[in-house]
Amino acid sequence: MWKHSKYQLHKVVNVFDLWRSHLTIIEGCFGTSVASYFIFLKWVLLMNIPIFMLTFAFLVIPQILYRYYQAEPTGYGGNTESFTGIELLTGSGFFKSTEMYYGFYTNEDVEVVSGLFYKMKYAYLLTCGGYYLFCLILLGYSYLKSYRKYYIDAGGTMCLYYFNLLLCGWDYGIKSQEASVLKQSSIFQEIKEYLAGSKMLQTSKETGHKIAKKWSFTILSWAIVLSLLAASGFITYTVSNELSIKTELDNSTSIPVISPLAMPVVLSSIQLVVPMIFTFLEAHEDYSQPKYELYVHMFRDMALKATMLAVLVYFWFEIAASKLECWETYVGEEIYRLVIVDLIFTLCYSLFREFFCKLCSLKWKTIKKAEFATGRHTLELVYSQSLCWLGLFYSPLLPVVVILKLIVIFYVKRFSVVQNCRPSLKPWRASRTHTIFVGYLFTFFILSCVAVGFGIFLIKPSTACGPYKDYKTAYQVVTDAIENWKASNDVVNEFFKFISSPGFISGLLILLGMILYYTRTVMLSHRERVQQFKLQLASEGKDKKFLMNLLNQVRVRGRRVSKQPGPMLHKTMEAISPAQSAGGKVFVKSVAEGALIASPNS
Amino acid sequence: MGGSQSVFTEEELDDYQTLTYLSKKEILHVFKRFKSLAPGLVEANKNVKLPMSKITEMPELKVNPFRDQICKVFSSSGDGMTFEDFLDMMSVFSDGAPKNVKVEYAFRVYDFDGDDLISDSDLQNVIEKLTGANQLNEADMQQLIENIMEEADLDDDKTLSFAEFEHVISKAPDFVNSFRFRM
Repeated sequence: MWKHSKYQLHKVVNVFDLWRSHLTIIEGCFGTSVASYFIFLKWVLLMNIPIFMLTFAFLVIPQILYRYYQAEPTGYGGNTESFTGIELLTGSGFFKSTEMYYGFYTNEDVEVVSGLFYKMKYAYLLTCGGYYLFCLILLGYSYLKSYRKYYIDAGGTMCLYYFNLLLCGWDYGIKSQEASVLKQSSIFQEIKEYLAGSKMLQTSKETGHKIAKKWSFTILSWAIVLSLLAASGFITYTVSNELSIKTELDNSTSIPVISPLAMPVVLSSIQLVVPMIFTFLEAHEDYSQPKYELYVHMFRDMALKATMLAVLVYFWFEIAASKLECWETYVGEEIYRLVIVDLIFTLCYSLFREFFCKLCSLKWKTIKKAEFATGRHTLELVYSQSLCWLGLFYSPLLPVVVILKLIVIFYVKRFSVVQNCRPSLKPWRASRTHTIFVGYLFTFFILSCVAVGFGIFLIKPSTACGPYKDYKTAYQVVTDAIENWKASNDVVNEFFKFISSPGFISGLLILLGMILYYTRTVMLSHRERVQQFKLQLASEGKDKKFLMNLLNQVRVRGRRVSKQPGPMLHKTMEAISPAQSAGGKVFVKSVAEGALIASPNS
Repeated sequence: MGGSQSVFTEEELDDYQTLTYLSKKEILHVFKRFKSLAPGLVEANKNVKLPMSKITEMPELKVNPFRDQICKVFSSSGDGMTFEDFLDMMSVFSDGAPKNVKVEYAFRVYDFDGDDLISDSDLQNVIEKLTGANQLNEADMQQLIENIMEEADLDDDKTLSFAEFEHVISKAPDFVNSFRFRM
């Protein structure tokens, strides 16, 4: 009964399975590696939808109601600018005085039904806390699930490498001849590479000279990487200082569309060019396995993005906050522009690299079609999502933009990949890399939270606009509210005194430490037990072999050697089928369920 | 879709649904695919047994290096597949089949000589089929087989029994995902 209703629920949920047909086609032609990018994109999109609903319901709608119901809204001038198409690109102008940005939101109470007040100040902060908490729980949960599945269950990284490669390596969903041939060659390459690598490990005796050369090159390349990071940070800072902020401060010296867009364009170009330098460096560094090369490249790429974003955040909070009148709206606009320019660059990449390569390959046979760079594209997704988290507090309608952007990217990439790309020859550990991507997403989420937290707790909000214009920091709203409660209610006062006392806090820390120690001990003991069980299995196998040998010796010559115990279902099937003389086929499911009932300790 | 719906009665569809891991819609879809392999023969008699050569025309099987072995395992009579055999095969390869069923059938697919053990010769067959046109040399092949046995053979009898196979494959995270046909 329970299974039946669960099954029905599953069928209903499947109806909402977004883009299922597209994913099937991609999987059939390219295998799981390329499909993993699209699945990741779908997951990020689905995560953004609840965030959008939260901000829409709790922030945008009350603000719209405020606009229409309040008789004399204070501090709100009508929208003086008109909507021209260019606002979609720059995000300022008409959009500055709409619900798009922080600066438009009121600090008053919205009263639609008389007597019920909706306090915008508290709503803004609490909604912010709400969606960050939601993302934290979702990301933490999926990261832990992924980690558990692929690292802990597998019991270590290299243990079952060959077995996994050969006996689980074939993707049964492949439908096209080209993909099949490519999969075969990629398995062959991986086998050869790995055998060569393990042979080298066994026989290598590197001379001192070679080791020194290798290490000096590694140090040199890391020095180059660090200097590139510093240079890109400096460039970002200079461009922001010279061009972007000038439009806000002084309209005469800036060019209307180019100046605000200069910083995002420079940022995206750096992100396009510098990884190529990284790839060049890695080609010359001697890595023992190609996957280490991939991991190092991903780390360097993410470090580059993180550096540039950190410089930007510093610039916004230190320089822009002190110079500009309504700096939060400016930050929101900057992030909006970053998102749009990122979208344009992604589309251009699809157009130029993939489409162009295909055209070239049609004309000149030597140029091959482009491969779909799954790793690079997934990292771009992580970057764009972290922009969204960074900008949520300053631009509540940003999730809409990001959702539309993701939908556009999905369709463009899906058609581009099928028309223009060829399957990659390099082997791809889809499972392990998924854990790494979710890990990066989680890291960037934490960094964005820290940055926004910094802005909320420490930076003074602008006095001209926004819900917090009369406060020293945005967080002061909460502390004021707590003070009010404490003053009005003795119980609350006592409660807060107790919580913030040193005794309570140290007690909590000691408790956490004890829980940590306990779980660690349990984990160690489980590991010991697993080792013991493995030894036990080996020795039982030896016993079995010994007994079988004895049995063979005793048996009379000529008798048939008895079969080893066969698979469970096969035996059950043989047991059932003679009994069922009439009637047709015995289906697998009925046998499996019968066997399950018969032996509940399986 | 309307044409194939009239081929089965509601009762038959219900039975098939209980007996396999597929939904009614998927069963009809499977029948459509079975019919497309040999439209004339299936139209005449829906319980016809199609020869192996026709079954391996199916796109997923056509490019699969283990197609002959898969057909052999799922065919109830050994020389062809009826619709019910075909349905059973698609059921095991569907998303709804539990892991232990898939593991069981993966074992039987990789056990080429049918002795319920995966021995060196079975592994050699698997490797040859997997690498396709590019063939490994003798030394590499031996090394590879030795490595696999070292990883998976727990009782050191130089063959993989079903228990060992199941134990090792339950740790492979990609197995369930790769051992299926997409509908």
